[in-house]
Amino acid sequence: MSYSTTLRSLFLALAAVGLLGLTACDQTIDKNPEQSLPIDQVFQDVSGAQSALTGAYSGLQANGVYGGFPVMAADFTADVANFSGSFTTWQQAAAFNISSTHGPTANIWADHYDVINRTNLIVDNAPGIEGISQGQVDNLVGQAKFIRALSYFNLVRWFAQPYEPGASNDQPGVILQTEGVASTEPEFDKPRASVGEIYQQIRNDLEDALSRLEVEGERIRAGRAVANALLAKVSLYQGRWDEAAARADTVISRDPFTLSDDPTAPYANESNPEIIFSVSFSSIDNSGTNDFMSSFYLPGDLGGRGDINPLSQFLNDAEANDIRASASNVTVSGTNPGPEVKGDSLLYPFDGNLWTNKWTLPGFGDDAPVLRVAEMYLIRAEGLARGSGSAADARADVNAIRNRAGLSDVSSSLSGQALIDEIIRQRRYELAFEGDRRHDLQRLERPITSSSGTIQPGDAQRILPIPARAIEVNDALDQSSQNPGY
Amino acid sequence: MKRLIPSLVFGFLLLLLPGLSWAQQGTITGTVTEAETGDPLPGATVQIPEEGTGAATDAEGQYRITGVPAGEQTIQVSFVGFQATERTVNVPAGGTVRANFELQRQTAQLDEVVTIGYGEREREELTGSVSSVSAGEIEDVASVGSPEELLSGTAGVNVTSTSGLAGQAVSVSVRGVSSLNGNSQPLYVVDGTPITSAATGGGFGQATNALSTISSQNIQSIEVLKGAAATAIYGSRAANGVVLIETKKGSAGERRSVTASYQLGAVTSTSDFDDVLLDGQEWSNAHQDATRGFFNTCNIPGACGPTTGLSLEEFEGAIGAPYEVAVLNTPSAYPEDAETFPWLDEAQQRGVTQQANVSVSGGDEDTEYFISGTFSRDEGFVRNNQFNRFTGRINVTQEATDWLDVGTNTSVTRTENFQASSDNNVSGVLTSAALIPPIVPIRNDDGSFNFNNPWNIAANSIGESEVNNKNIRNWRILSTTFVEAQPLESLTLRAEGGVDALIVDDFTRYDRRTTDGAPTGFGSQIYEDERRFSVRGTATYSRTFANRHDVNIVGGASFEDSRRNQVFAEAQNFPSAAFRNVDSGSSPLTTAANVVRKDGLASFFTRATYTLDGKYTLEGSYRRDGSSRFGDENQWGNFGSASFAYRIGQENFMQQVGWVSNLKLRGSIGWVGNRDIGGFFPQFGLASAGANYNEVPGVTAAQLANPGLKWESTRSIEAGLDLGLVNDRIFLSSTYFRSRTNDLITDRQLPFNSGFGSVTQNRGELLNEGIEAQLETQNLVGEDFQWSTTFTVTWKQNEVQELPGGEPILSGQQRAIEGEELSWFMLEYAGVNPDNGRPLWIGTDGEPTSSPSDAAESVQGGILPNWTGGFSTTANYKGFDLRARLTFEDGHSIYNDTRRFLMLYANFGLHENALDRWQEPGDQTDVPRAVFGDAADNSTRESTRFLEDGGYLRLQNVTLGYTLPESLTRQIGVNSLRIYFQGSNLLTLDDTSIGDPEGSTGGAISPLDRGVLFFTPPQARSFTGGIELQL
Repeated sequence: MSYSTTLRSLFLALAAVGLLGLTACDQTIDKNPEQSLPIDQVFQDVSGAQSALTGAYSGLQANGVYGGFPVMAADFTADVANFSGSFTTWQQAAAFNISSTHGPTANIWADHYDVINRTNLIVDNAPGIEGISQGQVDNLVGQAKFIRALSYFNLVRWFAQPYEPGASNDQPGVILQTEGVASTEPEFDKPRASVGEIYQQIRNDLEDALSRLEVEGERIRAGRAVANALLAKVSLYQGRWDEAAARADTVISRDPFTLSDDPTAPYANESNPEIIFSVSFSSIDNSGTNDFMSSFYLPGDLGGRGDINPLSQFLNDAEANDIRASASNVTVSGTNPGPEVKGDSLLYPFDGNLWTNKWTLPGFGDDAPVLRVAEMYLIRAEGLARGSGSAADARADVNAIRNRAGLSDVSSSLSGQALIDEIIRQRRYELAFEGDRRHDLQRLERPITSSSGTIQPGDAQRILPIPARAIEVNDALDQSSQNPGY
Repeated sequence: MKRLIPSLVFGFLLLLLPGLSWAQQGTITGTVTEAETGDPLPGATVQIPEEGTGAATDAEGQYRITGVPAGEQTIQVSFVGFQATERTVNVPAGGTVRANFELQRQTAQLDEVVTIGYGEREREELTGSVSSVSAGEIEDVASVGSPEELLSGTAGVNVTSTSGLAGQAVSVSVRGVSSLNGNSQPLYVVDGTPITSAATGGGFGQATNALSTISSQNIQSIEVLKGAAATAIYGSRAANGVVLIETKKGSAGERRSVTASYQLGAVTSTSDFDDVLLDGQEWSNAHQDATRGFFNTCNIPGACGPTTGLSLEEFEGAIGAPYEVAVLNTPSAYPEDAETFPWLDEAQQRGVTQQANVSVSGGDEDTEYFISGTFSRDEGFVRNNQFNRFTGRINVTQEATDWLDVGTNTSVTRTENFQASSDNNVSGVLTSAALIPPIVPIRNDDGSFNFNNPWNIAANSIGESEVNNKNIRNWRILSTTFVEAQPLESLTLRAEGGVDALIVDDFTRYDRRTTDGAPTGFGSQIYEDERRFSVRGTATYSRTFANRHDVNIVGGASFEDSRRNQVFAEAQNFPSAAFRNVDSGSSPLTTAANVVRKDGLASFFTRATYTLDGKYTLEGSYRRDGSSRFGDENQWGNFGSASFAYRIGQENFMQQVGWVSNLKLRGSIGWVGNRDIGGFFPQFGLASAGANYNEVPGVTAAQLANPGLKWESTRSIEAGLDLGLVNDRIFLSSTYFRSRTNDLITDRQLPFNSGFGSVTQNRGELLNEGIEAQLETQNLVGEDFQWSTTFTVTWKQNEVQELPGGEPILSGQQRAIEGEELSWFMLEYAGVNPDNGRPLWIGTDGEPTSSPSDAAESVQGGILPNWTGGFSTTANYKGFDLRARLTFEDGHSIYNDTRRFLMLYANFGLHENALDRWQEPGDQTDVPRAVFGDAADNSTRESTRFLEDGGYLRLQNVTLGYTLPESLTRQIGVNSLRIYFQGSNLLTLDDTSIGDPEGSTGGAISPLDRGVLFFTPPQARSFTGGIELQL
C-alpha cells in the first residue's frame, strides 16, 4: 500500500466517521412525543398538577360517572322514570335482568377507577413538586381527595351491599386502589376491600379535604362546604344521624349556599346558590359521547332521543300541585322549544307526554347537580328525626322544601316513622331525575320498583355485578369474589 | 430552405472529415459463433465503445468495421441470450485485423448478479434466499399501478391487490405472516434507502398505496430477500422480508440510448356484479315472495298488521292496499312488468389508460447517467376513479478521480388519485349501485340524477360520484446521494444520504344533495407529510487469498429519522356547491394539527463471507438496532444469522456427471425482528391534553408505560437445494422454511382498577412453515426460436401457538386462536329444511338446528392461502416475443359479505341465489325461504353459508410483441422498434358467487382483517397496446 493510498483511506475513514457522527446516536433513538407528555413530566410544576386536577374533574364527565347511564339508571331502575328506548342493555337494567357482561355496568366500574387513578396521581405527586407551597399542595390534594371520595361513594353504593350501622361491615366492597398508576409496576391484582374499609377511606379523604381546603366551594369545584356536604350524605348512609344533621347544618349556614325560593331556579341558572357541587358540562369539553342525560330526557323533536319520561307511578304518587311532579302550562313545539326551563314547574308537556325540565339543553349543556342545599335540608331533617334531634326542627326542614314546591306544611304532629317516610318521599320528588332514588331505596332496604319489575331487599339484582372482565384479568379475584347471583 | 443549404454543405464537409484521416485507420473483421456448436451468430452486435462505432454480424456471422483508428482497440460483442465478451486487438494503420469471437450461451442463473443488503453477489455464491425480478420481465409487463405487483408469482411471495380500483393498496406477504397487530408488510428499500410503504391519506375514502409513487418504468431490478440469512442484516425490520428496488442506471461505455414508449389501453372489470344480480322483474317477484314470507312468519307484535285469521288476500282486501305498502312501508307496490335500470352499467366506465415514457441513458469513462420522465393516466373501471402519475428521475454517477465516484439517484413524483367512493360506504359507487333495487330509476324525467331512493339508505352513487370529490394528491421525493471510494482494489468505502419525502393532500367534499353531504355540505382537508432522512456508511473488503480463499466483509452504520405531521380540518354548512374549500364551510367541526409519528433508528451492522475453493461458503451477519419505539429496557436489540452453502456441483467427482451443471445445498438460521409495532410511542406512559373541564384545559394519563416493550422477534431456519441440469437449462431451486415469531405485540388487558384498560406488550407466538420451489426450464434455445418457462409454487401454513391469557384475538369473523391457523370463526351452515324452508346450522349437539342460539361458532378454515404460485412462459421467434403468466392461490376461504347483504330481502338488490330460494315443502335447495328483512329465520346470520373457496387460477398477463427488423428501422434512424399488445387478468377460474376472489374490503392488508368481500371492486381487466422506440 503506497503512502498516498494510506493517507487517502485514512482521510476517507475520518470523513465517513465524521458524517455519521453528525447524527448522534442518542439523538436518533431518543424521541419524545409532541402532543403528549410522559406522565411523570406532568407533575414537574404546579401548573402541570393543576391541569391534572382539571383532568380529574373532567373524568367525572365520563359516561359511567356523571355523563350518562348511572345518573339516569338510578331513576329509571326505580320508581321515578320510565325508559322506553331501544338500548337492550338499558332495558335489561330496568327489568333487573343484567349479567356480569353488562356493558353500562362495566363502564361505571371502569370510568370511576379512571377518575380515581387521576386523583391518586395527584395525591402521590403533588407534594413532591419542586417549589410548591404547602397551600398549593393542600388545595390540589384536598380537591383530589374529594373527587376520590365521591368516586368511591358511587362505586360502593352500586357494587356492594349497603353499610350496616353498628355492624362490622366486612361484606365485600370494591377494590381499594389508592396508589397512582403510571406504569405496569404497581400491583393491580387486588381483592375487594370490605364495605367498612371503603367507607373509612371515603371519610378519611373527606376529613383530610376539609382540613386542607380553604374556600367553601366554587360550585363546580370542591371546597370545605362541598366536602362537608358529601360527608353529611355519607354519614346518612352510615346511620350516623347526628353527624349527618350537624354537617348538613354547617353547610346550610355557610355563604353563599341558600335554598332558592323557586325549585326550578337551580336548573334555569346553573350558578344558582342552591348548587353546592355540580359536574360542569359544556359542548366543547365533552364531545365524543352520545349518551348524555339530555339526549335521553329530551324528546326527538327537541334534539334528544325521547327515551326517558316520568314514570306514571311517580306522577300518581305525587301530591296535587307539587310543581316537581306536575306539568307546566306552556306550549312547546319543535320550532319553538322555549327557554331552558319550560314553564314554572319541573315537568313540561310535549308531544303527548311529560318531560323533565332538569335536562333540557342538547349538546351537553346542562351541568349535572351532585349536591344541592335542598338535599342538605332533607339530610338535616332525617338526621334530626332519626338521631337525637327534635322532630319539630325536622318538620321545619321538610316544610321548607314542601312549601317552595307548592305544598302546604306537614301536620305539626308528624313524627317518628311517618316523619321519616315523609322525608324520604320528599327526597324522591326533590331529587328526581338527579340519580339518587335507587340508592336511597337500597340504603333504606326498601323494595325497588321500576317500570318493569320489583326487587326486594336481598335480591341479587339489588347491586350490580363486578364486571366479568374485571374478575378475569385480576388474579386476586375469582368467581367466588363475584356478587352472589351473577 | 435558406437554412437547409448551409446545413447540407456543412454535413457534407463532416462526411469528408473521416476521409482526411484515412491513412491512420484500419479495419477489423471476423466471425461471431456460438461456442458450443460453432454455428455462426447472425445479428450479434460488435462495438468499439471508445470510438462509438460498430457493426452487426451478417447471416454468416461475419462482421466488418472499417475506419477504426490504428492502435489498441477494445471490441465488445454482445447478443441477446449470450454472455457479452470483449477483447483488445491492435489495429494496423491502413491494414485489417481479424478477431473471431465465440459466445457462451447465457443460462438463466449463471453469473447473475443480485442485489443483497448493502452489497451485491453472484447468485451462485448466495447462501440465503433471494428472488429476483429482472428489468426484462418488468419491461414486458406493460403497466402496473405499483411496483410490488411485479412480485406476483415469485416463489414464497404472496401478492394480493385489495381491489380493482386504481391506486389501491397491495398486500405482500413473504413466507407467510409473522405479525398480527404490527406491520406484516416487507421493508422496501429503493437504491439503498429504506422508504415509507404504509398507505397514505384516505381520511374519508381509501388510502393511496405509497408505493404507487414509484414508476415501474424506472426499475432495473427487484429483489426479494427471504429468510434470515438474506434479511438479518436489516435487523429489527427484517421479519417480513425485504424488497430491494434498484432503479435504472447508465453504464460506462454504453452508447447513448434514447427510449421512448407509449401505450394505450382500456380497462374493465374481471367480474361484473350485474351478471349475478336479479333484474327488475325477478327482483319484484322475489321481494314480493319475501313480503308474503313476512306475513306468514310474522311474530313481532304490532309489526305484522291485524292478521289474525285472515289470509293475505283477505287482509289486503280489508285495508284496500297492498300488504307491503300498508304494513312494511315499502314506498310502492310491485310494478307490473318491472323495468330494470342499469345501475351497475352506469356505475362503471370503460377506463382508458395511457402511459408515455422517455428516457435517456448512457455514459462515458467518467459519467454514467439515466434520465427519464414518465406520465401515466389510468382510469379505473369504476366511475370517476382515476390515478395519474408523473415521475421525473435522474440517476447520475460521476467519477471524481480514479478512485472516487459521486452520484445521486433522485426522483420526484406527483400522483393524483381521484377516488370513487368504494366498499363500506353508503356512497360507495358499486356498493350502492348493487344495493338499490333495480326498479329505481337512475335519472329523473328531465335527465337529472334521481337522488331520491325511497327504498333504503343506498345513495344514487352514480349521481353522487359526479358531485362529490375524494382526491388524494401526493408528492414524493426519493433520493439517494452517495460518495464511493476505492482506495485499494480490495476495499470500497461508501457513504449515502437518503431522503424520502411524501406529501399527502387529501381533499374531500360532499355535495349537500348527497347522502354524505346532506343537508348543508361537508368538506375536509387533510394535509400530511412523512419525511424520512437516513445516512449510511459502509466499508466493503473483498479479496481472494492464495487463489482459493475468498473473503468478503461488509461493515457499516446507519441512522434514520422520520417524522409524520398531520393537519386536519373539516366543516359543514357550505354556502353553495361552488364553494369547495373547507374554509367556506361556516360550521367548523374538527381541526387538529399534530405529529402523528416520530421515529428514529440507529444501526450498526456487519457481514462476513468466506468461500473456500469456490465450493464451501460460510456467512455470518449481525446487526444491532437501537430504536425510538422500544422501551428503555430494550432500546437496543441484536439480530443476526449464520448460513452456509455447499456447491457440490463444483466438486471434482461431480465433473464426471456432465448432465448436472449445478448442485448446491444451503442452510441458515437467524434471528430477525419487526419493529413496526404501531401506535404512537407505545412504550411510554403518556399524558394527553383534551380532558377539559368547564372549558379549562386538563391533562390525564392516557397510556400506560411499558418500558420493556420491544420488537417482535422471529427465529427462522431454512434449508435449500439448487439443482441445474443440462447446462442449467433445467434449474430447480427449492427451500424449506420455518419461522417462529415470539413476543407478538398484543394488548394485555388490565384490571380496570389500574385506571387503564390495557397495555401494549410482547406476548404471543406464531409459527410459519412451508416449502417454496421454482423450476425454470429453457425448453428451446434455438437460433430463431427460444422458449422458456418458470413454474413457482409455495406451500405454507401458520399456527398461532400462544396468545396472552390464551384469549383469542377477534377481528370480525376472523380469529387468532391458540393452536389454530389464522381462521374464520362462525356457525356451520347445514342447508335448508326441505319441509319448511328454514335455514339450518350444525348445533352444539352435532345435529342440524334452525335456531342459531343452539349452534356454536367454530373454526371454519384458514384466512390465508396454503398454496400460492405462478406459471410463466416466454417465447421468442425471430422478432416476435410472447410472454404469459398464470398465478394461483388455494387452500383458504373468503367471506362474501357482498352476497350476504344481497340476500337480506331488506329492500336491497338481490343476488341470483334468490332464484333458488325454498318456495314450497319438498324443495331441495340450500337457499332458505324468503322473508322480508330476514325477520324470521336469521338466515343471513354470519355462517359458512357465505364462506367461499378462495382459490383461483388467473391468467394474469399475456403480452405479444413484435420487434421490427433492425434493417428496416435503421432506415428511419431507429435502433429498435417494438410494438406489443397486452391483456391482463383475461381469465379467472374461481368459485366466487359475486365479485373477485382476490380482494379485501376497505383495502385491508393486515392478516386478521383480510379476505372479506363487501362490494369490493373486483380486479381490473385491461387490454393495452403500445410501442417502444430506441434511438
